[in-house]
Amino acid sequence: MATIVDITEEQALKVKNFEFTYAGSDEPNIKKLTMPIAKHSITALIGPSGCGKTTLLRSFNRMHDLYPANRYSGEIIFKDRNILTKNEDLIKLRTQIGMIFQKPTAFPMSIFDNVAYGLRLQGVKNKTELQGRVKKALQDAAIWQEVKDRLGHDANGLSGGQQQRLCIARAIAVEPEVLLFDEPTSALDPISTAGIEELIVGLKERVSIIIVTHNMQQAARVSDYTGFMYLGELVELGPTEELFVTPKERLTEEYITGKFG
Amino acid sequence: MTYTQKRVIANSIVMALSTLSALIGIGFLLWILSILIINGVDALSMTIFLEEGAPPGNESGGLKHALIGQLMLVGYASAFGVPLGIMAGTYLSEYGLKSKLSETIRDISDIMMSAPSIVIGAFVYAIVVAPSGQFSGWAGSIALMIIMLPIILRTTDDMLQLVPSTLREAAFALGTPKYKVITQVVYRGAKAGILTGVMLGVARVAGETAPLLFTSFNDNFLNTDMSQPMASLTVTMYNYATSPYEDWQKLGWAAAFILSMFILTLNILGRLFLLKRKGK
Amino acid sequence: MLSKYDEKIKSIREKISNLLMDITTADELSLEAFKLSDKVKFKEVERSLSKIGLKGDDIDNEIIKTFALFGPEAKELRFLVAYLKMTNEIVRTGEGVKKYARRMSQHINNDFNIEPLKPTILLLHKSSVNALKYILECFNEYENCNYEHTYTKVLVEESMNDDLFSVLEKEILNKIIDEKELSIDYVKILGSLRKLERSCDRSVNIANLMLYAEQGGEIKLFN
Repeated sequence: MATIVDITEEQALKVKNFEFTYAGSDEPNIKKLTMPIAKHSITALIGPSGCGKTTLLRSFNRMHDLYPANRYSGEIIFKDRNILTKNEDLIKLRTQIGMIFQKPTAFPMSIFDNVAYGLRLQGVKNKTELQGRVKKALQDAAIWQEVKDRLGHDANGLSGGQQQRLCIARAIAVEPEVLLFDEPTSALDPISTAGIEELIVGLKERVSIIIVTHNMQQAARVSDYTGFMYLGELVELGPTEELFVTPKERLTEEYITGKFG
Repeated sequence: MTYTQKRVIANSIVMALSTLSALIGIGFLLWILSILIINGVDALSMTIFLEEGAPPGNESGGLKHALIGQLMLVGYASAFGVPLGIMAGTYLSEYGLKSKLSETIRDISDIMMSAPSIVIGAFVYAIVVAPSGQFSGWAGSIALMIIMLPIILRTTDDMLQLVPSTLREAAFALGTPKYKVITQVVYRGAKAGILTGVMLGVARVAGETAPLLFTSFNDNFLNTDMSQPMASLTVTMYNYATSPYEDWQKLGWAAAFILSMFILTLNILGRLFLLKRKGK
Repeated sequence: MLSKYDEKIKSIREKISNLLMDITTADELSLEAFKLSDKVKFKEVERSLSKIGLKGDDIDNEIIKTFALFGPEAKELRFLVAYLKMTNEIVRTGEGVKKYARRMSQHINNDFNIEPLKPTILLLHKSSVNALKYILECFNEYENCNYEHTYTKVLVEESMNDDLFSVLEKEILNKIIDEKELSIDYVKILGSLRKLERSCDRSVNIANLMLYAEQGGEIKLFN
């Protein structure tokens, strides 16, 4: 029933018959979903609240495992393996698939320590290497100029938009292959939002990006592919340019034109 | 009289009454403090800190034994109670979460906090003093530790829960193992709050008398052997103040003053820390 | 706005500019071809404009995508709408140039004596080319173009163009009266020349749209 475009280019992730049920619930939140994610592209997930887009996003890096009693089945294929198996190394997975959250989550430590955190976790001890990689990450997150003279300052002194860039720098410092963005600008002002959007577009050269947003216009502006979800199902997935001009599913059309959601 | 007028008058009456009540409360506090200060400062001198206890009538009587004893009792109690309390609080907040076991532990902890301290003293008497056949500093420290534990446990639990879950998630999302998430990220975020809990816990036990009565008992002389009865500021104060000797009574006032100032300072520092933390 | 948006706009402008350029160049070539009665050149004109319809569609689709994806407002909105309508006028002008070249090429075949009309026709043609050139120049200057000035220049050119066409109409009608047996050919020529006149009208529309985009308010193409 759903219209899902064939992704002929290389795929970063492939979801196969994925079903997810929250603890304490009988109804699955996500129902037998199948979806490809293209590499070096930005895929946006849109849909009304409760459609399952955030649930799906958080499944890619197994965030749901932090909370007991959630149930899921199906497969998510990443680098030729199913990452939903019990013996998946979650620590390693999360260095390959990073996440940026809705509220900026700077750790209570200095700016430098924030960005170096993931690197130190991986065992990088050499001071020069750390400094170099931290600088590069901050540059790539377009915040180096603003913080280069106060790397030792507490990260909580930064503004919301700056903190979000810091979180992005922290995530890309470990050079992941996929980056998951969970409504990254909904807590920010319009100017910071524009900056973050530009940053995200610039990142797709190196990382495959999946972004969940309740802001359709943001999805339209930023993404290459858009997936519309409704009540736990993927209704339509297609190139953004096509989906927003000529959606193939009636439900997609109604959502985009604001008839509901 | 219109409705508005009635309301305004009712408002003013209640305002006046509540202000009056507050003033009465504060008034009592100031009264206590002033009596303490007047009598306490009068009795202060260098001898207090340099000399041990002496029989009444002896000019060279001091509080050194009581001060050192108190420090040791509270010190050992904290050395065990603080880490235990923090670890227990961490378990509740990070591992147990809202499970039945955790909720039960929290409830028991709350009950223990309001348990009369003399009852705890009696309990420790039964399990430590009676079997060992003597009063000891260890028994006193154990009693103080039991009183301190629920306070630190609860504050740690509450403060850690205040750390937003997204912060933990962000650390996990970078591939951090759980224990590092707790020690490197969550603890740092709750640092001020936990410290406050510790300070308040220590302040609470520093002023206890009843539990020490049947555990560390007392000593009029300096004793640093924890397996023997030990002097404490509180029990000494009790003894001196209720004695018929004037110089002992004076020493009692001095002890009261020193103790109050210590606890007051700890409390104020603790609350300042908390304000700073909440103000963020 | 986002740099993705800027790239999109840049791409659309380039395409329109190239299309305008192709048509202007072709029109100039057509003028040369007429001057020298060179059929080969006319053929070249037709060939160079063979794909303008497709190019116009492509530009339109890009503009539609830009509307859908970026939801522009104010000046950006006006410029995009102007571009959308301009493309239509530009493609039609191009079609006109193509048809003119084809038909004039046929007239040369008919060893038909067009010499007496030639000077006026050349003036008419030159005037149409000028109007296009003003448009092209202004379009390429983008922000720095004085749209009012351009609009006025094009209006003036169009007025002159109208006068020249009226003159030609009279001359041709006179010729028809004199050489009744060639009336069909003369009518055909008049029809071809009308394309040049239409082209100038369209240039006015284009200049009008650009002015609207700059100044805002409401579109007043038909006032």
